[in-house]
Amino acid sequence: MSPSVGVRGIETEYGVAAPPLTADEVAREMFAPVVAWGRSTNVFTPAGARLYLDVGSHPEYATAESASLADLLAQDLAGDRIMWALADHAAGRLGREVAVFKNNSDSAGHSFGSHENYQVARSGSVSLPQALIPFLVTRQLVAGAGLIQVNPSGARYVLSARADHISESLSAATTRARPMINTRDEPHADGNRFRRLHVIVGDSNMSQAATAFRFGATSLVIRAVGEGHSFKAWALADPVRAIREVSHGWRQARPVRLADGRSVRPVEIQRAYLEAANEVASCGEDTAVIGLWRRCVDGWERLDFAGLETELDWLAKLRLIERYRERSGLPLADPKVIRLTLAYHQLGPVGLRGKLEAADLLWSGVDQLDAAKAVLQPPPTTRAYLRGRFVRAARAAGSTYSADWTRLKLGEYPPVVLLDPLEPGDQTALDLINQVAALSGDGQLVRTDGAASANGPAVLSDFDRILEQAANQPA
Amino acid sequence: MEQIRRSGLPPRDDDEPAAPPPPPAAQTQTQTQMIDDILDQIDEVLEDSSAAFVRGFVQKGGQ
Repeated sequence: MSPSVGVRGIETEYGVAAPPLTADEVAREMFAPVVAWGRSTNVFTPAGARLYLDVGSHPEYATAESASLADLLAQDLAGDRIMWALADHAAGRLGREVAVFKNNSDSAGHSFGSHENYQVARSGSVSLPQALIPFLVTRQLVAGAGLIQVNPSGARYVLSARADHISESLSAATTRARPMINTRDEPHADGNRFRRLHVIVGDSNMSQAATAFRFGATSLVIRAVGEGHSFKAWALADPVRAIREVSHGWRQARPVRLADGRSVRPVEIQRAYLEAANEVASCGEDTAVIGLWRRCVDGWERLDFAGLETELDWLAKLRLIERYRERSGLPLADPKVIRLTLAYHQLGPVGLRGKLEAADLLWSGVDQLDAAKAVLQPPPTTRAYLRGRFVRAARAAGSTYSADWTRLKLGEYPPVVLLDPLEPGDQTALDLINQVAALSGDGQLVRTDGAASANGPAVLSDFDRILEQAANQPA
Repeated sequence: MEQIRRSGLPPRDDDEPAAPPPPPAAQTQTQTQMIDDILDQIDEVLEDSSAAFVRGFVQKGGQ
């Protein structure tokens, strides 16, 4: 398989709050229109994405499989838009404000995540996770979201919101002992050819540049490992301890201990991965990722981050905190300062991302038109194209259907199985979609060029309207 | 960060020469002014019972 990373996807668990209601009550209200639409709290949207209620009453959005970073970012923003539109609708019904956060922890210390999926070749995948660990431990230098951590002994600003919730490098567990990489083998594809690398150590990023880096750089490292780069020299003595040391000790650039006994600064590890990634970089999106990565690594060498505040979440957030404290004289642990950091991760009009992007204080690379389109349209170059079109056509026809990552089933027809995530043109699936489109009465065939079928459901449900709202309104 | 475009290609250089960037000090001052504007905009949100709001955000753990 070439390139060595196929499709990519993001699963985001969102936090919700509408006191005095519990998170569970809020999430159920948010999902009432979803249940009415799809008879389940687990549905696939016309964009081919999965929208569901996960453990811990987290509304969750798993983006459609994306081949390019541009598609992935647009899909990610579409998920934010849908989540905010669901919350806005629930707020109207509840008669109170509903806050939605794309962050990683609540006030009680619970953690939730932003999970990354990478389609990789089955062959050679055995040694991949270990080769990635030193990279993932130090990736927070660039991709950390930043967090005010309040302890009995005081408050401090740490780089990563997830570091303190990680207790293993690799395992198949998720909620009890969170690993950096979940090794559960669920390829959602042809298991003889592919694996799905499931990275759950990352922070939820608001900055599109940070998200692009997180997925772009990790993909390049996977490619470098596939091309024979060994990172054994950077194996850590204790990765779990190291990830916390990097997060807590960033101001002093505290060194971490390697398995061979050496102590190195975290930025040296990032530099080694960066140079290997640079050797395998090829396309324009790689160049953009490498460019940001290099500027960050250089910044960390000098401990001078000037110019990076518009790209890195931990810096953008820190700059807001410091200015707010300068103006107010409040301590770091003051609830108003904490509230400010929650607003950084909040969706909707209270959230800071839109304001920061509008003021050019945060890089915004995705055209809002692309984000709007991604609410209802799948990426055109992966099998999500087929899933999205199928869902749309089956709904328009009022047919009984089911869909998941690998399977499309219409009524009594035999299921169509899609085992290659990078294949948007499976003929059996296209035939099925055309058949169901014909059922809807106008006989319009689904075109292979990405154009949508003109017909929509005869009666719009609340969730259809919520999706329309999401397509028309940034989160 | 360079633009990530749908084509996957970095932007080509514009034919028009770009305006010279403002000196760093002036740029920092402008950015601080813009940050102040944003902080002013959400001042009410921060004033309005932040402690109760922060305490009230309780989820269960996710993955």
